[in-house]
Order: sequence, then C-alpha cells, then structure tokens
Amino acid sequence: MARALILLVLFALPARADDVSPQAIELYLARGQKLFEEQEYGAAIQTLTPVTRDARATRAQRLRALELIALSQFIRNDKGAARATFERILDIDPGYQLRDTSGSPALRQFFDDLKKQLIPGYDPHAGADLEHAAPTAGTAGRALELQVRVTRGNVFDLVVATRRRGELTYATSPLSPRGDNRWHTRITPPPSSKPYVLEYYVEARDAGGATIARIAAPDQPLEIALTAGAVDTAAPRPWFTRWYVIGGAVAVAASLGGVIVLATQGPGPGTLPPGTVTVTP
Amino acid sequence: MPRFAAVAAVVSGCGSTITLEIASDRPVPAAIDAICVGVADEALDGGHFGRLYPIASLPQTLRVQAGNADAALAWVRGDRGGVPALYVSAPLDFGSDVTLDLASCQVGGAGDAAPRGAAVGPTGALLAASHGQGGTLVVAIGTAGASVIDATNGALVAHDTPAPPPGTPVSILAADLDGDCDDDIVVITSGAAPLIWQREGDEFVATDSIGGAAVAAVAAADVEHDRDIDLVLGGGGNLQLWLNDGAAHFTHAAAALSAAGRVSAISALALGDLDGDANADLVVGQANAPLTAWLGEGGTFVASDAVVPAIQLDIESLTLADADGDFDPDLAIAIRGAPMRLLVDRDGRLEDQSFVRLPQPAPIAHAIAFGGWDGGCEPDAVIAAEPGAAMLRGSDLGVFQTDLVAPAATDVTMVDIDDDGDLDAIMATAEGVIWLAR
Repeated sequence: MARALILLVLFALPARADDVSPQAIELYLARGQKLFEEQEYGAAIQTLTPVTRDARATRAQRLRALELIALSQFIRNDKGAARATFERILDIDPGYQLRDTSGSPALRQFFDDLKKQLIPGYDPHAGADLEHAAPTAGTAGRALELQVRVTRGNVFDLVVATRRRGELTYATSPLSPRGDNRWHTRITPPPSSKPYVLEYYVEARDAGGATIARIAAPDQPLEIALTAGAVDTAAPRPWFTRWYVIGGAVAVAASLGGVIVLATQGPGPGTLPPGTVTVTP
Repeated sequence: MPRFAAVAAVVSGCGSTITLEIASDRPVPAAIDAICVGVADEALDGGHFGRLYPIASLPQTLRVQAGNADAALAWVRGDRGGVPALYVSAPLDFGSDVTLDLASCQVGGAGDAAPRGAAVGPTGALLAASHGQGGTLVVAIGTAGASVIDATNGALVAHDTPAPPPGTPVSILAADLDGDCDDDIVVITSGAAPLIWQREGDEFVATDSIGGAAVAAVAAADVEHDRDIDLVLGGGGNLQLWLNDGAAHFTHAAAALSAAGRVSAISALALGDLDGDANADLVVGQANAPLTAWLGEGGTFVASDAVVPAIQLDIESLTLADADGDFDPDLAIAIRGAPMRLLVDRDGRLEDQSFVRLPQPAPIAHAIAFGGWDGGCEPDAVIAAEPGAAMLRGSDLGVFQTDLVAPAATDVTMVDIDDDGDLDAIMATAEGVIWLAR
C-alpha cells in the first residue's frame, strides 16, 4: 500500500522544469499533439503549457506548443485566450505562418485578421525571396564560401544542404546573418583524390522552422564541380616547435625570471604596459 | 581631461609598491575582450592613471607604486564588443597586493533590500552611473535641475553639476569619452544638441556639444576598435554615428551608419555585441513603430532584419545587459503603457521570452537595470515603474522570481554607490533619488 501511494505521488507531481531536457520537451510536444488530434483540447493545453514556459525550449519548440494551444483555445471557442496566444506567437515571430493542416477558413481568417492588426504592412501571401551567386568551381577538402541575400520576407534561418553526387542524404549547415540581409557560410566538401560534383540547395526558414523559400530543391539541386583535393598533410614540424624544446625554453626563462625577481625589491613589473605606475609622483 | 602627467612609469620598486591583478573566470575573449584599468589617488588633487587594454587572456597585472599617495582607488571595467559589461573596484592601502576579480558570479547581500538614508537630488530624474577617481557617482537630471549623487556615511548626498542644457531631459548616458577610464556624461534634452560633461575627479565640467540639433536617444560603444568610445545618436528618422578622436571630440561618420528609411520615430538606442563577433551591434527602438537592428562590422553598421523580431511597440527605454547569466547581452524593453518585454539573445538573435522568464503580468516599466545583488549568482533585476514593481531575483531555472516591491520610480541604475564591493540600486522617485541596499 505504501509503495502504491509513493508511486501515485510520483506520477501526480509535475516534472521539475530543470529536469526537462530537449528530448523531454519533444515528448511533451508529441503528447500534446496526440491529445490535440484526439480532440482532448483541455488536456492538450495542460500538457503543452509547460513547454511555453521553459526557458530551454527552442524557439521552434515554443512556437509549436503555442500554436497547438492557440488552436485548442480557438476550437473551444475561447477566442480571447486564442487571441492572446496568437499574439505571443507573433511577438516571437511577426512573420509566423500557421502549421495547421485542417484548412479551417475561420481559423485562417482569425489569424490573418490578427496579423493585419498587429503587423504593419502585413501581406498574408508573403514568403521570401533569395538571391545567390553560385560558385562555379571549387576544390575537394578546401573551404568553399557561400553567400545568400534575402531581398524580401521575414527569414529567421538559412541553411545550405550539401551532398556528394550519388549520395542520398544531404548534410545541412547554417548560414549566419551578416547585415544588409546577407547571409554567409563556409563549408568544406569532403576531400577526394578524384574530382566530383557537390550538389546543394539553400533553404530559408521562419522561426517555427517552416520552409518559406528555396534556391534549387532536394530533387533539383545546384551543382559545383570540384577538382581533386586531399586534406593537407602537415609538413614536418620545425625543431623549435617540439614540446621538449618549448618546455626547456620556458624552464630557462622561468629560471632567469626568478633570478631577476630575487635581485630586485618589491614585485616585478606588471604584464600591462607600462608595467609600473606611480599614483602620485 | 586625463591627467596622465601625474603618472610616471618607474623602473624599480620601493616599499609602497604592490601588484594589482585583474582576474576573471569569465571566458576571454568571448565574455571580456578588453579592460579599462584605473588607479587614482584617494586625494582628489593627487595622480590618476587610466588605460584601455585589449586582452587575449587574464589574469593581467600592473605594479602600482604609491609615490606620495597614502591610499588610492583601483577599478577595472570589463568590456565585451566595445561595450562595458561590468565594473569592479577596490581600495589600495599599499599594504598588500590587490586583485580585481571580474567574476562571473556577482553576488550581493543575502538580506532584503531596504532604503538607506533620505532622498536627495532632483525629482523624477533620469540617472547615469559614473565610475572614476573619487569613487562611483550617479548623475541625476530632472526638469528642476541636476545633481551628482554620492554616498557618504551610509546616506546619499547631492552635489552640483554644470548647468543642464535647455529643454526637457530626454536621456542621459555615462561613458568614458576621453580614455581615462572615468565615465563622462552625455546629456540629451529636447531643446539642445547633446552636451558632454567631462568627469574631473568627482566633479563634471561641461565641454563640447555634439552636432547642432536635439536628438531623442544616444548609445555608446567602441565601434571601430580604436580604443575610444563612439556615439550613436538618433531621433525621428535620423540615425548618426559620431566617431571619437580619443579626446572626446566627435565627427559625424555619415557613410558608416544610415537610417536608410528603416526607421521613422526613434525613441531609444542600445549597443551591444549580439552575435559574438566582437563588434557592437545596434538595436533601435521606436515610438509605435517596429523594433529594428543594425549589425556592427568593425566601423560600419549594416541593416539586418534577422536580429530582432519586427514587433511594433511604443518604446520608452532599452537596456542591453546579460539577464540570463550567459554573458551575452539580452534586451529589456520598457514600453509606454504596456508590460515590459525581455528578449533573450540566442545565437545572435533576440527572442521574446517575456512570458517565459518574467512574472506575469509583467510590470509597465520606465526603465530596467540588471546586476547580481542577492546571494545567488544569477543576474537580478530592479524595475523603475509607477506604481512600484516587484524586484526580480534570478533563478537557476532562468526564470525571474518576484521579490519585495520597490518604490515607484522613473529610472533605476544598479551600481556600487558606496564602493563597498557589492551592487546597490539607485532609483529616481517623486521625492528625489533614493538608495536601496541589501
């Protein structure tokens, strides 16, 4: 009986927020999604709310939780709460696009109306436009720089997906914003003793992780012809970089330093120039 | 005016020589990439040394010889991306070596915050904290006048300032404009061009105006990495970078920053290295227009739509400071007539986490200040609001917990006003400037 009581208490206690790992947040999200699909809207809201309050949830995780909560509130006809939750979504990402696949016209209208009120110049059909000057050639094993410019739209993330021709899966690398709406990354294609073709496409995402624009596509990638190139084999290290030479030099320097310190009064000069200062000469 | 003439490099020590060490457990250069080290005679007519050093590692040391000084004050400002991140000071009695520790864990007293002494200075003021020879001071400017506030014998005292420029005070900023590690003041009013008050010991002297027109907001950072503090001024749809020649003389660099039609009603500015590239980035708040940002590129700024969500707010003030203990600057936004927001820096992008980290409903604030002033390591916050708002204690979950309610106030700064080694909250109230300490 005692064991049953303890178990009951353990199950009843909410998980401590500091016990929530990213994987645990995903579990909450999956559970909330399942409850939502089973039309258990109250339970879905209850399950997902901790995700929206967890500082470690990623922006995309928080947005997913908030959208499911807002949809649940909307379906339960709690328009005030739905509006407040949608406002939180738009505070995080003014360009947010709903993930909802129900196609509910009433929901779309509600969300679009809210956006029009809150976001100046809101265009419900807005996506994003990207510009990219594709590199024409490169060398395997050597860094390759890519730059993309966002000429229109609210882009939160840009990634480049690359693969060697013949491979099935892409590896993605994020681009970093550099101002003037230019994004930049440096990728290093795998080294190869033979030339090969690197395939890639660029994808723009909103804060929720949804794709809003692409340059090329997974099944129609851009191509860069790479010449053969291997990882540089390190040249023999000069004798003076070997650890025992450096260690010996440090020991000699330390000994000399000790002699100098012992030979003078007071502490040695500081490491910051001018080494010594006199407060009031 | 720096008094480097009073400082001499010496080649040998004497009996009153100590080693001043600047240490930190913060990552270098990710969290601190420069330090400004100041040493000054306790006697205000004595010598003064101050110098900014880019650093690749800590600790660093300086041998300090008393000369004719009986006692001195040493202080260090840790910078990140050209913007001050924290200050530490300590007295020097020349009896033993001293370490100024720019610790990642900044703690204060464990007790409750309580007022010390009586209110002094102007009512409903704007505040700026200034570090330098003579210790830490706060400059308060209100519609009825201005005062330099110091702490003596457990109470605040007010001293005179130069005559404020005409017009209503709009903003006030403290920054080391002449490279001596003392914080000077920039006063912004509605009726005059920004005016510099240069710090001399524990007093201020009015010097130059910047530009020829009144502005609405100012922010400071070493934009071009030439070891002096530059200024960004903004108002209406106009945004300007003014470059410092190192002696607090400024030149408009029109090609380096332009509003380019992206803003129309600037009301607040903030500079901080958001993306960790060692360059100060610029966040621009507006009156009922979207929040916007420019990324610093080591001397120029380029517009970026990816840094901040373009949320439309009526912004009263912006505070870029580390609110979550990761050394990156986060953005606290005081909004006229609406609850404050907290945008957390995540990989160079500011994300609205107001509902996650702030107690709800969040207060309607005039200004927000961050700093470690309770027994825990996490940054805490004090909010200037009318009526008063609960002070916030940082927690290891990253969520602020409410504490006692602070008095109603128009501005707040967290600073070690009594130079005792821990932070105090200085608030501008309808009765004058007050001091809260733990």
